[in-house]
Amino acid sequence: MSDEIILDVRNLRRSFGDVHAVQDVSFSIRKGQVVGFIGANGAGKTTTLRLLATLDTPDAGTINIMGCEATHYPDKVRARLGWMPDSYGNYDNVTVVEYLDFYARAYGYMGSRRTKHVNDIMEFTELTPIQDRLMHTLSKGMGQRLCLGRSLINEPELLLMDEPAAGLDPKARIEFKNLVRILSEQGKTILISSHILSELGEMCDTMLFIDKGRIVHHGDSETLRRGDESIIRLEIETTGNPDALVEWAALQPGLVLVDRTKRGARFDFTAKGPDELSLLLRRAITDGIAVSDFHRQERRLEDAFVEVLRKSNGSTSQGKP
Amino acid sequence: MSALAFLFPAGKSVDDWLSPILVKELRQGMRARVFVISYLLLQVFLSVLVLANAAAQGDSRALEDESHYFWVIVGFALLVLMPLRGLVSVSQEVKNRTMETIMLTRLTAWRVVFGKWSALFAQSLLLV
Repeated sequence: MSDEIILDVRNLRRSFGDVHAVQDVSFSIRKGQVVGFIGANGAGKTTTLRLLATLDTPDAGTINIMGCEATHYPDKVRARLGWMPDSYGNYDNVTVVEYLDFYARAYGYMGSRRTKHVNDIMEFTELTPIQDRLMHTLSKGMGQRLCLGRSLINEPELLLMDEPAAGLDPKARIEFKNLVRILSEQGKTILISSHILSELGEMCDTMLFIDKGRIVHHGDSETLRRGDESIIRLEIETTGNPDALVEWAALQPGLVLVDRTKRGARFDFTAKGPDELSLLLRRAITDGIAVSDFHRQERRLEDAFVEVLRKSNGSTSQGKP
Repeated sequence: MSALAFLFPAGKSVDDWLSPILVKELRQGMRARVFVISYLLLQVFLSVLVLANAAAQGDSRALEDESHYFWVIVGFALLVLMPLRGLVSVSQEVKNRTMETIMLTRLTAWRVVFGKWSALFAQSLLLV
């Protein structure tokens, strides 16, 4: 991954009437990074991505893409970026190969170079066997692959993907993840939005969280997963009564109930030293809890996201009168 | 350099000179049900007209009526059907959000509109 900044966004704002969709958004992305853009529905992901794709104009702020100011020189920027919207536009009576051929022509590819380029794209997205199928007969997964192929037709350096895996079945999701991984290995910079964190966790180098139009976190997913290292998420199961486990846990210092499971419960444990965990297990057994499973849980990205939002909302409300 | 080599340099083909929108619209339009039905109906009507003409054998009034019907149908296709298809085509692009992806390409608004118009014009010529 290079240190070259490929996308630099500063103080971006966009409102629709009284709705402040994007408020003072600033971030930058280095060349070759795969960045997950995460937020709940209505958080401002699509608006931000549309601004970056030069499909909308910001009220204020700057978008610098590969050294070019996007709002002033949209044509220059458009030639170097790929845009994959959340729903791909369907054409009646157009086959897969004709669709890609049209966009290749529209980007200025000519003759045999165009044919080769379209064939390469179909090969990469595994669309060759269905190249003569009409677009409206494609499944959602095939359609998304076609949409990805279309967004790659101008050989972009920066790819903007808005909820690309939404509505895909598990198999299509895995195929899609693989394609993103290959693109990342080829050195493409990818900004990919979603509200499903698990699908981004494995793909992305860094995460960008947006809430109510503001960036609330920007960092790598590992740091996010680790979170506060002094707090350990524990899952304890018992062969006995889970109520007894919960009652016992309430009396233990540093152990806080998170939620109950079928055979036990999950806790957050504040460890003061490395031996604390083994001491806790020994205490449980000594106190008569029939422990059948006792393990440390890796923090899920969803939990990290909720925590970031909670902290962010806390700091926002503290500033209010 | 010959004129042909100048017009079609290595690696380029004849259709490279056509607007991408024109190529797409022609491929799309000529498979469209409305075009196929209009085309078939016109062929049937013209066949009937030719037969009626042969049967009339010099009845000038009948020939005038047939000519009148012919131009009414051609006029309907050219003045109503084709412009409506043009409008529907543009509104479909906006509705399906394909206009946005077209905007990101090198095509200008003028080339998009002209490409659509020329595709419809070419289809109208085929009908007439």
